[in-house]
Amino acid sequence: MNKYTIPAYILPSEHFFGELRAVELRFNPYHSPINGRFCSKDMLDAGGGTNSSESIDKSVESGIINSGYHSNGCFIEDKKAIGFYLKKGAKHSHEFFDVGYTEKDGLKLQKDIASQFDTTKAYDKREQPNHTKTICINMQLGVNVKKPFKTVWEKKPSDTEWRNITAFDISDHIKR
Amino acid sequence: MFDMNDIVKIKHNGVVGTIVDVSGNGKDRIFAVESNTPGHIDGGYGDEWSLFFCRENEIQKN
Repeated sequence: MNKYTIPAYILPSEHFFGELRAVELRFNPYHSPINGRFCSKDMLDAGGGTNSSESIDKSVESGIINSGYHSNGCFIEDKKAIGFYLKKGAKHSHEFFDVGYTEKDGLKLQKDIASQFDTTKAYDKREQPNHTKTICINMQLGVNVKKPFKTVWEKKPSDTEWRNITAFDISDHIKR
Repeated sequence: MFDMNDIVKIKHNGVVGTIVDVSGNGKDRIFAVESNTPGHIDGGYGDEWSLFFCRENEIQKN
């Protein structure tokens, strides 16, 4: 693997086998602005750089670069979609598999969640002492059958978009 | 040391949960620990699976 190629394990499989297969994933180590800023060698070594697709854009948080899906004012990390929601044996993965998602549906799940992100439907709004805000939004998720899921989001004062924290099936405890 | 999907215990309240999110870097890393016991737990966020936002020194391997 080229030093400056994003490792395959941090991207949903669709990025390689689906519509985004041809996306250029390499970047120039000498000219790699991230979010309009140039990054250090350490950041480059961590996988930073430019790309040509919004759906594999990156978030820079204290030098850590997280690839993920940005849309509609929210951000869902790839590692959250494929390394948690759709990872066999992970805490809530059976809830996503039960509604038809497969291990290869990372990008689809990210799109399904982002498309229903709507802060006007947020509840249980909290603000921590460091001014990080947390909200919940209920969504209907599924491929074959849809079920209500609660999604939890966080936004730090320096963030421009809400970042997904967790999501789980609430069909057994619908209260809202 | 800790990462997503790890099962940990929160030192101050003994809650055992799963790390569902990691943000920040170094000493500023924040781990979102989701209780493995359903229902609201005092001090947690949420009713179905309570969430606790912890620093690394506030959790231990279970």
